[in-house]
Amino acid sequence: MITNDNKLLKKFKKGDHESFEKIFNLYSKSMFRFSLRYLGSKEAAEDVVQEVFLKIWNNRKEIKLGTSFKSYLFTITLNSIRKHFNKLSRSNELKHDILYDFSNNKPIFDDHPGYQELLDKLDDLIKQMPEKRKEAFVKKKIEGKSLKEISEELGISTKTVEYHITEAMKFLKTEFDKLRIHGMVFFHLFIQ
Amino acid sequence: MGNKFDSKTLLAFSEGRYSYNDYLKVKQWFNHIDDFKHVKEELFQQWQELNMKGNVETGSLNHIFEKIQYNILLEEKRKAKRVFLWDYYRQVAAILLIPVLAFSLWYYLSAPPVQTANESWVEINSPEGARIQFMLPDSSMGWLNSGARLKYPAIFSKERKVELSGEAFFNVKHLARSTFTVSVADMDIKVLGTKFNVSAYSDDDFSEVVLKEGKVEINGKTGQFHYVLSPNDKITFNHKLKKLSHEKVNADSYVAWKDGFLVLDNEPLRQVVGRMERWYNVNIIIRDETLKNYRFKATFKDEPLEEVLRLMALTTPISYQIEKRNIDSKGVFKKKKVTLKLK
Repeated sequence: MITNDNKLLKKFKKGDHESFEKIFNLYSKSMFRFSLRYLGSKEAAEDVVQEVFLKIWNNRKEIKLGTSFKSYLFTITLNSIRKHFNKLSRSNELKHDILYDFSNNKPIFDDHPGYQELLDKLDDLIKQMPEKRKEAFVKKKIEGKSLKEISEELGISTKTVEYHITEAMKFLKTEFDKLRIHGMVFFHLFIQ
Repeated sequence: MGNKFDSKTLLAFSEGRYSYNDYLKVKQWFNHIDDFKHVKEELFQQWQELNMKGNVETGSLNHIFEKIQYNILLEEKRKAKRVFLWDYYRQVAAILLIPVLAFSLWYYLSAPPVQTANESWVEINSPEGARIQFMLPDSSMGWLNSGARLKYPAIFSKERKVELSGEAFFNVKHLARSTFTVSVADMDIKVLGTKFNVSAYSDDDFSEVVLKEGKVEINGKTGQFHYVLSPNDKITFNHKLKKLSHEKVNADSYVAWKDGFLVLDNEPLRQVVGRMERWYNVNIIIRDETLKNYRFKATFKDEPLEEVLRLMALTTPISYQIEKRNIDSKGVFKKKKVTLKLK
């Protein structure tokens, strides 16, 4: 296996596109899954794969043969994941603010292990919003942009942006209330 | 640092079971990875396990690879300082064959009449840009692709033998105890009754045989190889490198040309260009060396050249230019010339 890999790497170091594609096929899927585990976003995980492979292409001449290739791949993958993890942290904090506001058991909220499910639910509900409302809401509440910026980007008045956001928040509140009434496991625990 | 590493939290996080506080912990570990050696070790462990499991249950990531290729091309383009100008001044063949009729085939008898009928040969030529259907004396049928030439005896002897240069699809009629041999520059393809595709253009470096039905036997003339194909086998012999390769393919996509489909099956551009030149009877020049390895996957049905180029430019970093047809010194129209380069 290792000798095979070495053959492939040798060709790749010379700039052979076909071996590059083979290396991509060998490692990209596990790299994608690994990234997805820590980033929780398909787009970000795809970006990691793209960045890593561009980097190894550009640095192909410096690549060493043997087992160290795998650790090399790991190191640059991890660095790329950490970079994206940081990029996502701002919107993660904003999402946390929204969810925290809706919870009615704030003392245990931050220690409750079902946080990912709540994030998924929030994403799911955002997807259900009408197009313009969703855009306005995401820009303001997830990306943290100002009303003025959003009104320019979307070509609508700041008043309309505000209206969309209020409506979006109302929608989220009703939906989260419904979940509470239906006693969905993760929400149920918050009520106690 | 007050936040101590524990592998349970990290593992649970990776599986989507975590609290907001766990998230904050992981964030800190990631930000200060050098202070948390164990995090790195643990992650490496997970990474190794995923690699061992191999590529399962994830959808295709081809679109990412395409993006990467695109970026590589753009980057190389920036580096390249038009070193490839010489490529532009390639010789241009000044002959123009207008495919006036889809069927512009001509027969002629080459052997003098003193010879026995057995030895007189018939030749069919398919002009560039045309595809023609033929029927042989034994009622075997087939198609000749653009720029291909087929030679066969007016009357078959017991051994049926034909000579081919270029690409053809054969549907050979089965006759008891009579073999049918297609002879190309570097190999003989011996069959009983089958359907198969042969491509052996003299300007390509390789000959290729794809079997659709039945069984064929291949014998190399120069490379000294022997091979028996089963359906959907593809064999390619590169006579420049003296290399024989074998692959399983979908035979249908290799014979689709006879029904007017131009199928590009993940081929590098340098190969695609050869096919398009013959298909449309044009000259195509690739200005950027890096483009030659760019791979394509597409199927076109009866599309004019301009439309195919437009679609290629839409989905890839390629731009094209079609030159007006000039008349050479003898008053003959030159072939249409297309130049491809990086955007």
